[in-house]
Amino acid sequence: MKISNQAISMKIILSTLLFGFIVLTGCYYDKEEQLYPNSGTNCNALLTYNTGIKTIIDGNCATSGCHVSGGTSPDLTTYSLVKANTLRITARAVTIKDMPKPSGMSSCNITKLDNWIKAGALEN
Amino acid sequence: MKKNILFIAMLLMVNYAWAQDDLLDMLKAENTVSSPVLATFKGTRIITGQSNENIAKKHLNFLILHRFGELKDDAWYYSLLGIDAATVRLALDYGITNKLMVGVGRSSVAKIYDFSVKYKLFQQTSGGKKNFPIAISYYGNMGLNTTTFADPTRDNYFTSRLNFCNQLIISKKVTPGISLQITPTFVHRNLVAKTSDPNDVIALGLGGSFKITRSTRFNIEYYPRLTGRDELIPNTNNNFEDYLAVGVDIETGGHVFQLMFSNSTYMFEQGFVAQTTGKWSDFGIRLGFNLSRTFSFDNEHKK
Repeated sequence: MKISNQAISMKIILSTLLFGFIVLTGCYYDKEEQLYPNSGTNCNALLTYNTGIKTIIDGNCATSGCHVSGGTSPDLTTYSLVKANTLRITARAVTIKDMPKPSGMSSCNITKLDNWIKAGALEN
Repeated sequence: MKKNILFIAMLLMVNYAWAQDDLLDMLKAENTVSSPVLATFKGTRIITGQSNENIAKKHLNFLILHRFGELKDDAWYYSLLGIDAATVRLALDYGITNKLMVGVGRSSVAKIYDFSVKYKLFQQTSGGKKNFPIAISYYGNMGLNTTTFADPTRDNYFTSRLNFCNQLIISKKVTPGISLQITPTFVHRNLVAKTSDPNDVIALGLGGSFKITRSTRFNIEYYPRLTGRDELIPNTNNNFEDYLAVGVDIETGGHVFQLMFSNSTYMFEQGFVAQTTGKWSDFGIRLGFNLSRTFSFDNEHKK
């Protein structure tokens, strides 16, 4: 009798913890487009190197120790260097999606890069 | 031994029954006691989705799950059936009681940690006068995406990383060789990309397991979605696919080895129900395997 009481109280403690956790963290119905109206809608906007692509490259590829001078080849720190490597960028970041390691960049950034390269990889 | 005692007892009872009617009644009562139906499935999951089986009390199950690259991506010898693009999920399941199991897992896809609980509500029984014809379990899972936020400059919320799954697992061992399961599944994601994307997806999982030999079984699993079918895969014009997998269980010693072809890279419900991308019709399928090993922490029953 005593044992079964203990078992029951343990069950109650566990289920309270579990449900408490779920209730506290909560259930949300968020949409990225509505939550971030400024960044969500312009994934398809056509950028140039200076109006946004440089930011993406610097944030994802030309990070310290990676695609910078003295880091891993190729160096992606300037427009001419990036332009010379657009084929490799398309292959790894857009098609295979294993760059940056290990699982690629956000789908929005991939779309921006892809559109930019397809439009001729313009600087301005 | 137990059977022999029962047999002798029965013989004795039959002898006495000529004289005493109440003993005959006792014999009848003995025959109407139903016993639980065990081993409906070989493991805690049919293929990737959960089965009605739990880990026994004070036992810990260690699972290694792998799904490889899509077969259509490369010639089979170039990436050796997709093995070069392996994804992994490691999981630990522990039986607190024989009915209650808790688990934790970690997937390499989206770096998701998941926390789960499975509880046996009803056990299928047989052999008695009043049997319960099916087994019913509840399974709940909460996933936590731990990749760095796509855009660290905007307001990011912890809740955006969470997704949930609730399942009612209704199974039946039809014959010793055939087990079937229906799994109504409710998946919730706190954050989705587009306004038109549903946060909730409801699917009706169907599963079956068929005995081939004593230690091997053939399994099939299909999770057609009832809602959210028009959600698009990001940056494409294709819809997500329904999850379908076929596989075999091979039991060797203390291990259960499950080998399968499936069209999803995900190894937990929120992913494979709502975010399966592979098409069976154009070989968007993946080879994969589950390997499970159970450890006992039950000192009372150890010899």
